[in-house]
Amino acid sequence: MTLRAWHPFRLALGLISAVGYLFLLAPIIVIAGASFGSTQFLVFPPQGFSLRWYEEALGRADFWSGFQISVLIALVAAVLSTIIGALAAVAVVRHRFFGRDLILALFLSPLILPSLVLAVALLLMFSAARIDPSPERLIAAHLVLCVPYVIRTLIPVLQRVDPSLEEAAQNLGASSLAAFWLVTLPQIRPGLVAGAFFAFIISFDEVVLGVFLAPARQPTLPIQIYSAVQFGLDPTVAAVSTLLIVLTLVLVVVSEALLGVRRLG
Amino acid sequence: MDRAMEPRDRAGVSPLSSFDGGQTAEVLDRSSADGHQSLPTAPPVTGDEAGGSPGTAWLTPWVLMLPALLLFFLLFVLPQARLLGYSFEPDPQSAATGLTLENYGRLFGDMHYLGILGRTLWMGLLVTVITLVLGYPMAYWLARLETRWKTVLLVLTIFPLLTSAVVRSFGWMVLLYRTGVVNQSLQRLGIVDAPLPLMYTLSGVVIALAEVLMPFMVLTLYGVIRGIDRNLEEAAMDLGAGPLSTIYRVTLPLSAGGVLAGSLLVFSLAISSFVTPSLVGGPRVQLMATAIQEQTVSLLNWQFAATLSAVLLAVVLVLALAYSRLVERSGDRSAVVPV
Amino acid sequence: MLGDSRTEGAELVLDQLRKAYDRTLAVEDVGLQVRRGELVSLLGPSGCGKTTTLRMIAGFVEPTSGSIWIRGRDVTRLEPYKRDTAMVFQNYALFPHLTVFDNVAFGLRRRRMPSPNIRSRVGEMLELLELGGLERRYPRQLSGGQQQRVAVARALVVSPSVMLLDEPLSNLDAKLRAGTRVELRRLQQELGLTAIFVTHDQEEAMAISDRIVVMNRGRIEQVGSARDVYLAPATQFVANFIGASNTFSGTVAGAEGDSVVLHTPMGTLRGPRAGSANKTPAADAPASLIVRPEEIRVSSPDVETGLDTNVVRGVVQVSSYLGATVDLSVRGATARSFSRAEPIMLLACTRSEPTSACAGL
Repeated sequence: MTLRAWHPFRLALGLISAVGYLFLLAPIIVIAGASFGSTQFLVFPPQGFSLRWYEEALGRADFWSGFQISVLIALVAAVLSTIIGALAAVAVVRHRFFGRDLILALFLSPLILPSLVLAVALLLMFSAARIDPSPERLIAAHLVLCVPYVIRTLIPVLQRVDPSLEEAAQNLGASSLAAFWLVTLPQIRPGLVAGAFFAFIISFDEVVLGVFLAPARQPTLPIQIYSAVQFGLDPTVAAVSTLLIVLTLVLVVVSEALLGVRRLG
Repeated sequence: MDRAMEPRDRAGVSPLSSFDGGQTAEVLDRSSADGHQSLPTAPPVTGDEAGGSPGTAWLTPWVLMLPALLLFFLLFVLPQARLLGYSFEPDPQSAATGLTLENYGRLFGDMHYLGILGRTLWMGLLVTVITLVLGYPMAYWLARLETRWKTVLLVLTIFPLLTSAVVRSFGWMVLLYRTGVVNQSLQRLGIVDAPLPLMYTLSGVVIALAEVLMPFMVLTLYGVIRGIDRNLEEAAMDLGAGPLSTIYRVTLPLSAGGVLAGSLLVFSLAISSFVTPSLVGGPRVQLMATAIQEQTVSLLNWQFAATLSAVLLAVVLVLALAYSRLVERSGDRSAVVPV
Repeated sequence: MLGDSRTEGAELVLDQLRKAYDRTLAVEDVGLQVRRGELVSLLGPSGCGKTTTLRMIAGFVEPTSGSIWIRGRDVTRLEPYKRDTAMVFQNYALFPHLTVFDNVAFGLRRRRMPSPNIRSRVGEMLELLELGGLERRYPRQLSGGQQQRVAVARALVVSPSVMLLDEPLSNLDAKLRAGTRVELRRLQQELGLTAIFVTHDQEEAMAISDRIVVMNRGRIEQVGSARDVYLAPATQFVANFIGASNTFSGTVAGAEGDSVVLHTPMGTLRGPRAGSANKTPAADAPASLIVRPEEIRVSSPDVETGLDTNVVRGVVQVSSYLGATVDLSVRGATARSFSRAEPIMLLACTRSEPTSACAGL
């Protein structure tokens, strides 16, 4: 709407939005701020300033191993789900087949169906099949959550690639596989990177499946935080959380620089 | 004419040829219902113009989807179908066998569980209303913003979404406890005398969950409002409508689909979310998600956990169907589906 | 299977080609033989099957039945990349992530040509199409005309048996189009290329082709030179689609040798029998007389024309001056308004301003 900058409507809109963003960012700001406090009990605004909780957090072997297992799981899940999702997205965008809409709906349904129900269902199935808790088990479960993000990121990207480019490549002597590899793949590379990025974040942050399926001896970092928080507001955990926030922020900013934020949205 | 130019590239074999017979056969079986398999000599008209080796071109999408189909069948459809099966099995403590509806009878006959269901739906409604009331102005402001700050603000909207729900719930715990910053501020401002009970209450869960799910609402509405031609608003103002009445009479009706879609999405996610209710609500706020966990992990009553899950799943499925119908009708998937 | 007699000397043969989508027929019984070095246009309105035919030749669409032969080899069921065709796409389909050089070299690399040869061959081709110096540009950095020439170069460089052009000029603006058309024709003749050229623009088809295949509703209406299809249209569709024409519909009154006399609401008219009507039409059968505008003279009713047949009277309603020609919209008088004995005049464009031509009516 073309109104003067100081029009009451615009002011009110800006004010509400500012409150909205404050609300949206409040818990993140609070955790980050409180983690620098010097008191034993976590408070916001922080009292005093110290880095002792960071020292303590970085010195904890259990957090380090949690971080390592989280990164490992997220990396494997991201790579696998990007491959699986990209293949499925190509099938859905470039081909017409029986039941296409239904299959696409199935592939996207984990985006909206409760992951808690999936977690319980997988727990019961794994128990019945005597598949013991392991990182592999968790990765397999994470794939179900990650693949939909990859597919949905890639569908619009693939739709923007002119199908006649692949035809032109075939026409010039490239097999259909070579045509995809030489022509379509370079076009969708940003989408693949964005999809992999999503998959990594989803897997790295995942808690619900982890609570039910992760091996008790090798919990991922978010599960360690989840468990610790239930027993009290520990400043060390706040420091770890802040490090996670910073990591996420770095990933978001890097991917924004690489891909543009619109691709994320 | 240079005859050496004849295509000699044999390196690129068809993607089908690398597949072993077993897997291909499975795909063939899967789509024989489609009537394709019975025509080996005269390849069927598939309408598929993507090319590939003639005659087997229809197989290509199935081969491409095979990993995803296997994954979803084994780790999504199968376990959840099995879970539904448990909900019709009798309680392990009873001697009964065979299929039964007693679990559902117990759920819908017991005020305790009906209360949990009702509380969950009520919580979902409150969260939806808060995100909508706060999210609509934010989305509108964002959609009509024309500065380079827009990118920063979009990142700020997406960033919480990518931050772990555990961390954000943790933040809310710090904010909401008895002597937390919210209560201190309220007391200092003289709004309340004694600290409000926010932690381990439904109100606390609603506040925290509204924040956790807010990006979904804002991004959904942002996509829809951005798609509305600004000329329409300018035309309305040109015809004498003030900004508020322009929003009410032009923008809001045109974004009604987005409002509904965003609300369905947030409501579905709210009633099925687990992390925030279990941290901020704790065991004192009994909701579907926490009840399912309790039945599964503490009480080991898989049958009843399955029944609660089935009911939750049914509600979400109905909403998801409504959502997809809505998206279909609006014709533009990208406009309504958020991050 | 085709006998040798039918494929001999023909670079490309289409035999009874059909394509059905679900229940609709996109292409029906298309048969065609194209000689080496010949440029044949597929001309018709959108949805006439010309593009589907082209895509079947390229291998992107599999024919429902019929066969395609290139240089005596049956390629009907061959993958696109094993056919020796090269296509210029309507939107050019230049690979956006590759430079001009890499775009043109794409086909040569697929053919495993050694890279020094590729370099010299691509260089030659870029020179030929006046694209020298643009090797390192990306498609988006080129003008529309340059992009079009890159697309042509990319197809030409692999020396295809058959070059396929899918409305390659339609994305150029009108001024560029005419020049590019001539340039394309010159290249094709110099290199002795066999080419199929799809277009919906009849002028373009007439200007560039050795032969024109006029298609409608998936079928071939007529195959012939530009002169043939213009002067002797085989069907009414061809007559209407190629060039401007005035149609006088009526019934057959009789035939005299090669000419047919028609009763029309505009009076009795006489014209040559069209090629497709090889048997004498029955009396009272419906028929149309089609008159090219340049065959029509216009004069005022009081001028003595000296003609006693094929004269039609009418009133000029709109006259549009178009430079070389003048378009007249004429409402003809009804049959009752004049007797057959009276002199009737045909009305259309002349060089003089004819607004008053029939004011006397």
